[in-house]
Amino acid sequence: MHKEAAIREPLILGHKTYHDITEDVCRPIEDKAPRMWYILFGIALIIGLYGIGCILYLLGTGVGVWGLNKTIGWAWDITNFVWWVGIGHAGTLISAVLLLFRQKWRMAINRSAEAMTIFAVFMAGMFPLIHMGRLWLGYWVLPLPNHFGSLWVNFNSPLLWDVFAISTYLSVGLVFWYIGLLPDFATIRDRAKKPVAKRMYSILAFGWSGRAKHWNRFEMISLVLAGLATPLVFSVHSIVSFDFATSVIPGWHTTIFPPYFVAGAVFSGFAMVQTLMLVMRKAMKLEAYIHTRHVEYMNIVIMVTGSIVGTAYITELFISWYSGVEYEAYAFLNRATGPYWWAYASMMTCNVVSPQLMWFRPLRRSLTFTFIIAIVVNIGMWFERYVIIVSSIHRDYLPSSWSMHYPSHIDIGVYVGTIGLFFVFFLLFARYFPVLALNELKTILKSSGESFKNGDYPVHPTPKPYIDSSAPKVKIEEVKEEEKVLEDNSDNPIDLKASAELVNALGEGSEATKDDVKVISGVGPKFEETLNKIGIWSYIQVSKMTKKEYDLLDSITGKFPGRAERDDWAGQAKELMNSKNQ
Amino acid sequence: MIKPSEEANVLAYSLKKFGSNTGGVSTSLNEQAKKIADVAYDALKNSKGASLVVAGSNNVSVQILANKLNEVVDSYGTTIDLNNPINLFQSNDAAMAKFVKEVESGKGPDAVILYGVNPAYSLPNGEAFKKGLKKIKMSVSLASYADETAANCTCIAPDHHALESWSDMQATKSRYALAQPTIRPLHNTVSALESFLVWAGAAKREGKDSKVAYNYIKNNWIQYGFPYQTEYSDSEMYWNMMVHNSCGEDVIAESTEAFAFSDDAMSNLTSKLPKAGKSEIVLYQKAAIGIGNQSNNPWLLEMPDPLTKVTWDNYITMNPVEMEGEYATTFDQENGLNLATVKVGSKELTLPVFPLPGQTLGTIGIALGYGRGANGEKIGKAAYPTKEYGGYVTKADGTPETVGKNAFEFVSLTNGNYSYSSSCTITKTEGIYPITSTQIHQTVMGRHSIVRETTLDIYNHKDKEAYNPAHMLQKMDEHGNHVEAPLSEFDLWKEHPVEHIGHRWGMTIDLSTCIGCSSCLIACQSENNVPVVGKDEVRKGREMHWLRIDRYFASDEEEVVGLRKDADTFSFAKAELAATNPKVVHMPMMCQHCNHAGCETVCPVAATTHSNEGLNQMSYNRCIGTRYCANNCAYKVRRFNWFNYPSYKAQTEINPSQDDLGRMVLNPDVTVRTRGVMEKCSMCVQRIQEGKLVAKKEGRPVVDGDVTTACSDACPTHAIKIGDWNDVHSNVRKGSENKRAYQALEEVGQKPNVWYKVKVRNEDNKELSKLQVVKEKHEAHGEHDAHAESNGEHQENNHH
Repeated sequence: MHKEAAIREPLILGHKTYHDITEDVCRPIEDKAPRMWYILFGIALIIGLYGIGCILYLLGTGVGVWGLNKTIGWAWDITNFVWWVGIGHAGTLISAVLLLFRQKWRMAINRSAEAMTIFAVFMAGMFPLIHMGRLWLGYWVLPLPNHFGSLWVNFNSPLLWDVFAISTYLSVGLVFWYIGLLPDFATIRDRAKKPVAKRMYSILAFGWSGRAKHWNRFEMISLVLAGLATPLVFSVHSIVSFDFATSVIPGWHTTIFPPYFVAGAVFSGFAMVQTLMLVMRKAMKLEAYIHTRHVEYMNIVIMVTGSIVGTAYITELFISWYSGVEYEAYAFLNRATGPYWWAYASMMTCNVVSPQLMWFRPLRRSLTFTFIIAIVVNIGMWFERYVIIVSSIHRDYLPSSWSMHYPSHIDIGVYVGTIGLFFVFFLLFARYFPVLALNELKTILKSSGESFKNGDYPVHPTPKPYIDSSAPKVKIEEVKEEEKVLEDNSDNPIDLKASAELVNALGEGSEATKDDVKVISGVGPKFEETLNKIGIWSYIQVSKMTKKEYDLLDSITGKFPGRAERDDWAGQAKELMNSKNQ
Repeated sequence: MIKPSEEANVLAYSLKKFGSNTGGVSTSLNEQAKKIADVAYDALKNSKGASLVVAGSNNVSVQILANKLNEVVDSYGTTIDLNNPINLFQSNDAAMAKFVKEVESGKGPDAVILYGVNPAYSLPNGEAFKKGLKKIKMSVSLASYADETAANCTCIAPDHHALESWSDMQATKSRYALAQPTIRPLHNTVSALESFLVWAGAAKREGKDSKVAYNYIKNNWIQYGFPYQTEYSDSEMYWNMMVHNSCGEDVIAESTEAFAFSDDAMSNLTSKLPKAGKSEIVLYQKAAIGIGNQSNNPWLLEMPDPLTKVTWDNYITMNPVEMEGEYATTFDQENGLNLATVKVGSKELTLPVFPLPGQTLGTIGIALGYGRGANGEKIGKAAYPTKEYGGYVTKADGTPETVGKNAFEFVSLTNGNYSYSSSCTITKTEGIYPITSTQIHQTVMGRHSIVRETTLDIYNHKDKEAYNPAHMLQKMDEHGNHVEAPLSEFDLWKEHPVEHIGHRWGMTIDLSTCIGCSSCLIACQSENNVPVVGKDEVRKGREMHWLRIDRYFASDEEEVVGLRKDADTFSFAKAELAATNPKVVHMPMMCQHCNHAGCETVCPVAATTHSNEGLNQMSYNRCIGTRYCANNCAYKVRRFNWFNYPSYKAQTEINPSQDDLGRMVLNPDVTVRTRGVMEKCSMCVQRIQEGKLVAKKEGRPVVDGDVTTACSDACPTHAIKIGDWNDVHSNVRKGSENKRAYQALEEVGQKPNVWYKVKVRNEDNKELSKLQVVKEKHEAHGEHDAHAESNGEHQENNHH
C-alpha cells in the first residue's frame, strides 16, 4: 500500500487516469517514431559501427593497436570497463535496493535505469574480453572441465572473481528487468493491432494474463530477485576494486577501495540516469511521471555518494603521507603534481566540487543544472578510473621503467564506439519497450480518495501543525512551469470575440459531441473546461487547429503560448479520432 | 670534466706537480679541472708502480705527455709490458691519407684488393676515395655483401662469414689462436684465405666444401707450431688438440731491457696540440655499433646505448645544463628532441640533441658507425628504419632513410693521425625528431632499496649496516614489547617448499663489476628468440628485451645513486633531474623469479606459476594475455607480444624470424612466442634442463658451473652468476650471503631469487662516509622497554 505524506508533491502529476498511463507509455511504441529518433539512432549506429570496426581491427592485428606499453598494460581499456560497470550500478540499486526500502518514486525511473544498467554492463563486459591478447581462448577463465589434464583456473586471481561477479550481476539484472517487463509487454500485446507486433509482444510477454496468481508470483519473484540483487550492488564494484586493491602497485594497493568504488559507481550510475531521463522525459512527454521531485531525489543520491567519494580521495592522500611508505607517498604526490596532474585536477573538480553544489535546493531542482552536472560527473568518474589505473602504473617502483600513456585513435574509437552502441541499444529500448513500468506505476496512482492530490483540491483539508504556514505555498510555487500548466486553476474571463472567431474556424461543437479532450497531452480537466467554454468540445474541432488557431487560442487563454502547437494537439486529436473510429 | 683540448694541460699540470718536465705545455686549469687533477695526482703519488695513465686522444703530443707521466709514476715495467703488446687496432693513418690522395688524382695502383675494410664509408673523405676507386682498373673487394666500398669495386669475391670459415690469428703477441667454422657455408662464398692462395697461384679453387683454407692452416700449424712444443708427439694429435683448445700455449716474452723515456720527445709539443674551441666535438663509438661494421644487425641497432638508452639512432649528446633554453625538451614516447646542425670546417650534419648529464660543458658528442647505406647500397634488410605500419622510411629520391647519420666526415687528419675531436659550431635547426629511448626517466629518485653503492674505504672499514642496511620492521615479542626484526622474518604467505629441497636456482649480480656493456642483453636476445620490434615500437615503449640494463644518474638530492643527502629536505621534483656531472650506476634487470611473485597470484588462468626449483615460469600456451601479471610486477620485466611478431607485416624488414634465412638465428630449444602472450626471463630454463640432464647422464649430482645462463656466459666481467642456492657451496649461495648482497625492493616482500651486490667505488667521498654510518639502535626502543617495565611494575604494585 502506497502511503505518501500529503504535503509532498504527488509522484504522478496532472490528472492522469489509469488509462492515461497506459496511453502515455504505449503511445511511443504504437506511433510512428519521430524524425528525431531516426536521426539520433542513425548517429548512434554510425558511431557504434565505427567502434565495432575499431574492435575488429584490434582483434585482427593485436592489442598493440592501442597505446599501451611495457609499463602501462592497462589504460583506456580497463578505465572504460570500470566506468561502464560503475554506470551500470544505478539500475540495480534503484530497482532492488529502493524496492526493499519501499521508495515508490523509483517506479518512474526503474525500467529505463535497469535497461541502462544492462546495456552499460554489456559495454563494460566487452572490455575485459577485447583487452585479452588471445580472446579466442578467453573461455579458459571459466572453470570448465577440460582435456588439459583438468587444468583449473586460478582462484586467487581477482580477475577471475570479476568473471563471476560481472556475469552474475548481468544475469540477475537481466532476469529482474525482464520479469518486470512481462505485464507491460502483455499490455502492449493486448493493444497491438499489427499481427507482427502482436506476435512479437506475445512471445515477449511470456503468456502473461494478468491473473491474480500471476501478480502474486510477480510480486514474490520481484522481492526474491531484489534480495539477490541487493548484495550484488555492493559486491560487483567491490570485486572490480580488488583488481587493484590486491596488487602490489602503489596507488592500487589500497584497502579503502571497495566502499570507495561502490560509492563512485552509484555516483556515476545516477549521473547517467539523470542524463538519460532528462532527455527522455522531454522527448517522450513523460514530464508528469518523471518530474522535479525525482530529479531532486536522484541529485541527493549524487550528492551523498559524491561526498563519500570525495572523502575517500582525501583519505587516500592523507594515508599515503601518514603510512610513511616512500613509494605510496610518491604515487599520490605524482598523481596530484606529476605529468597527469590535469587528470587528477579534472577528477577532483568534477567529482568532489560539483556534487557539493547540490546542497542548494534551487540548484538541485534545476533541470538544466542537473543535466550539466550529470555530464560533468560522468566525465569526472572516467578520469577517476584513468587516474587510478594510469597514474599509478606509469610511475611505480623502478624509475627505469617509468613511462607515459598516449592513446591511439583505436583507443578513442573503441571508447566512443561503446557510447554509440550503448545509445543504439537505449534508443531501440525507448522505441520498442515500455520505458515506464506502467503496471507498477498504476499502483501509486491516486485518482480519488483521501490521498488524491492535484491542484484543484486543497493539499490537505486540515491544517498541519508541524509545518510552518509557508510550506504548502512552496510546494505549489516551486513546481516547474511545465507541471504548472497541468494543474493551473486560475479562472480567467474569456474573450468572447476571439472565441467566436476560433469556433468559426474549427466548426461548431456542443456537449453532445463531447470527446474526452483531457487525453490530449497538455490538456488537464481545468483546461478542458476552458476549451468547452470557448466552444471546443470534440477531437474533430481540435484536429483542425493550425498555427493561426493555436495563436488565437493562446491569446484567449493567455497561458503558455505555443504549448498547444508544440504538443501538436491537432495531430494528437487526429490519432484519437482514428482510434475512436476503429 | 675537461674538454679534449684541455687533456694536455691536465697531464702537464700533473707532471708539474711531480716536479717533472712539462714540455712547455701550459699548466693552467680551471678550478673544477684543477680539483679533479689534484685528486688524480694524490692517487697517482700514493700508488707509484701500481697505476696507469691512459690518454683518450690520439694526438701525438698528448700521447707523449701521457707516456712521460707514466714514466714518472713508474708504470713502465710494472703496469706496462712492452714485450707482450696487443696487435689489435693497428693502422697508419698518414699512409692511408696519402693513398687516398693518390687514387683520387689517378696516380694510384692498377689494382687494389680490399679486405675487411670499408673506406668509402669510414674515411672522412670517403667520397673522394670512391671517386678514386673508380679510376683504378681492377678493384676487388672481399666483403660479404655490396657495402659502400664493394658496390664501387669492379669485382666482389665474397668471403665466408666468420662462423663459416677456418682462420687463425694473433691478437696478442703472446698467443696464437685458431678459429673453426660452426656451420657449413650457407651461400656460394669463398674463404678469403682461399681466394688469396688462388690469386697467388698457391692453390686451385675447389668449389663448395673446399678444404683449401683448412689444409693451408693445418699445414702451417704443423709446420711452425708442432716443432716448438713437446706435449704432443704426433702431429695429427697436436693439430686436433689445437682445434679443441682453439689456441696454443701462451708464450710470454720476458722483459729483457729496461725502458727509458727519452726527454727528446718532449720538445716541440705545443705546436701539435689540439686547438681549443668554444664548442668542441668528440666522436665516439657506441658499445653496440663500434665503427659501423655491423650496423645492419637489428639486434645491435635495437640494443640501448649503455648511457643514453637510445636505440636505432645517433644524435648529439649535450649536457642538459647547456640545453636550457633553445634545446630544452622533455622527451618521451611522443615528444621528441630538438634538432641542431653541427659544423666542423665545411662539413655539417643535422641531428637531434640528446640531454646527457655528465657531458663536459662546451662539448658535444656524436657516435660514429651510423648512416650506413646512405646511397641506397643493399647492406641488409634490417639496416634501415621502418615506418609504423611497415616499409622503409624513404628519402625524397625513394632510397631508404639511414639509421642515424655518418659522422666520419668530421674526422680530421692532424699531425698524421685521424683526430676524433675538434672544435665545432652548433646552431639550432627547426624541427622535432622522435627519439627512441628505452628509459625516459633518468634518476632513481633516492630509492635506496633499488640501487646501493659505497666507497672502498667505507666497505673496508665499516660494518655492513653502514652501507647495506637490512630492512627492519617492528614486531611484538613474546613479552608484548616492540622490537625491530629484519624483513626476512616476516611473511604473509606460506613459504614455497623450495628451500633445502632439490634445486633452487638463483642469481647474483655484482653492480661493482657491471660495466653496462649490454653483452648479456644481446646474449639473452639470441638465446631466447627475443624479437626485434623496430624503432617505432621501441619508441612506444614496447621493446621485448627480457634482460635490460637500467641506468641511473645521481641527482643533486642524492650523494650517490639512490642515497638521499638529507631525508628531511629531500625534494622529489629536484630528484627527477640528474646532476650536471652525476655518478652513474648500471643495473642489469630481469625477472627476479620471486618466491612470492605478484604476477603468479593475479593470473586468472594460472599461466604463470612457480616451479619447485624456485623459478617463476611462464606457460605461453596457457596465457590469454590479460597483462595483469605485467602490471603487478614490481620490477616491470614482463614483456607482452603486442603483435604476432613472427609475421607482423610492419616488422618484415627488421624481425629476423620473418624469413627463412633470418630464422636460422632462432634457438630451436626455445619456443617462438605468438601474439597476445606474455613472456619474460626464464633464467634460461632450457639450459638449466640441459645442465641437469648432462649431470644425470654422467650419473652425478649437478655441480656449480653445470648450469649457466646466456647472460652469465656472455658477461665479460663475470658480474652475473647463476647457480643452485640450495647448494651451500655454490657461488650464488656464497654471493647471496656476502655482506654486499641485497635484494632489490626487498620491502615489497616478493622474496626474489636474484641478489644484487652493492657497488663499491674506489674513491674518496667524505660526504658519503658521514651518511653511511651504522645507525644507533632506536632510542624509542629503550623507552618502549622502559615503559613496558614500568607498566609491569604498576601491575605488580596493583597486585600488592
